[in-house]
Parts: sequence; structure tokens; C-alpha cells
Amino acid sequence: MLVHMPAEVHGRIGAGLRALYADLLAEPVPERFVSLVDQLGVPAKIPIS
Amino acid sequence: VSVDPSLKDQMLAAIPNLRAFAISLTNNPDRADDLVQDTIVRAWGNIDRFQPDTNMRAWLFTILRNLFHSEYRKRRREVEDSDGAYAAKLSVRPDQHGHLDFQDLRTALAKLPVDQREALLLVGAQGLPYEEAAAICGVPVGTVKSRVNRARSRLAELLQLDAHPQIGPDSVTMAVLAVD
Repeated sequence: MLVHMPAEVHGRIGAGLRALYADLLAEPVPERFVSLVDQLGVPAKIPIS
Repeated sequence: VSVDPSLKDQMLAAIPNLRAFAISLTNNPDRADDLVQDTIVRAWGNIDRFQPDTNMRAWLFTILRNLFHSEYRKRRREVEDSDGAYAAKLSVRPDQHGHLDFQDLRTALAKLPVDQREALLLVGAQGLPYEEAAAICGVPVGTVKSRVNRARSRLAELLQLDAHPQIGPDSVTMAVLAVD
């Protein structure tokens, strides 16, 4: 059963989560990932777990 | 084997979102980056399964989420971020009050059951439609809605929202964040 919460509380949680995410998204991509993607060669089959 | 070079660009473009999801999911930036790296390697190894006309980011989220759950099952007894390593590595915001509130939110998120946490992050933070979040999690849409709803209720409880005027940064920082 869904629990209904006041719109104001719902809004605060949403705003908090989006602000938290904006903080994380603003971080520069670490060089290790740029190098990793750059170095990807011919795909070798790796099973998706 | 020939692979469309733009796929690498699409992967690179998805990394900030993958990292944000992984950090919020694991509450540990080192584990999160390892998870993102494993996701990229795994995805590249199966790039022939990717449908070019579909959403690369959603496909990568699915792989990351599956890898996380595989690892989570192995590490189940481990206490996440028990030494506060994650909090210590966070960038300091200009407003100390806002920074502390973010930590409260992170701590509360870490206390949610993992299925609720991932649903709330995908829908409430990442902004994905319920249908897409359901596909990533491999559950019906109604299950995602229920998990998101329970996660919000639990967060409100943990954060004692009635007693706090605001989560997140101060109004000036919020205004800056709102500008695209």
C-alpha cells in the first residue's frame, strides 16, 4: 500500500536528492576513465552477470 | 570485428551519471569507481548486445546495477562506510550548513534497504521515468513505485523532516544549481 506524505515533504526530499546528485555530477571525470575508454580495443566477450 | 567509434563517446558521456549512481548506491567512492570501471569493461565486452537505437545510459545502468548486486551479495556482512571514509572525501560546499545537511541525506540514504535506495536514486535523483527504472531493476513498474514511495517515507522519518526547514544547500546555492 502506498503511503501518502505531504507535498511539501515530498518536494523537500526531491529537491535534496537532485541537489545531492548535481553535486556529484559536477565532479570532473577521473582521468582513469578517460584512459580506460580510450584504450578499449576489439571487444572480448565477457559474460554479463 | 568493427565497432562504431561513437559508442566510446556515448560511454564516456555516461560516466558522470554512472559515478553519481554508484557513489550514492555504495556510499563509498573507491568502490563506486571500481564498479564503474567494471561496468565499462563488461559493457565493452558485450557491446554486440547493445542495440544502437536504444539508450546507452540505461543499458550501462543495468549492467552496473547487476554488478553491484553480485558484489553486494558477496559483501553482505560488511558495514558500508563504517569509518566515514566517504564523508571525509566529499568536496566542501561554500555553505557549511548545507554541507552538513547533505551528509545527513547521504547517511539516511545509506540506511535504506538497497532495493528502495536504487529505486529512489533512479527516479528521484536521476530523474528516470518509472518504466525505465523498472526495466533497469528488472521488476514491474508498480514495484518501483512502491519502493520509491517507501524510500521517501523512510527518508522523511530518518531525517525528521518536520523538524528541519530544508535539505541541501542554502537558498543562494540552490538558485545557482537551478540555473542550466
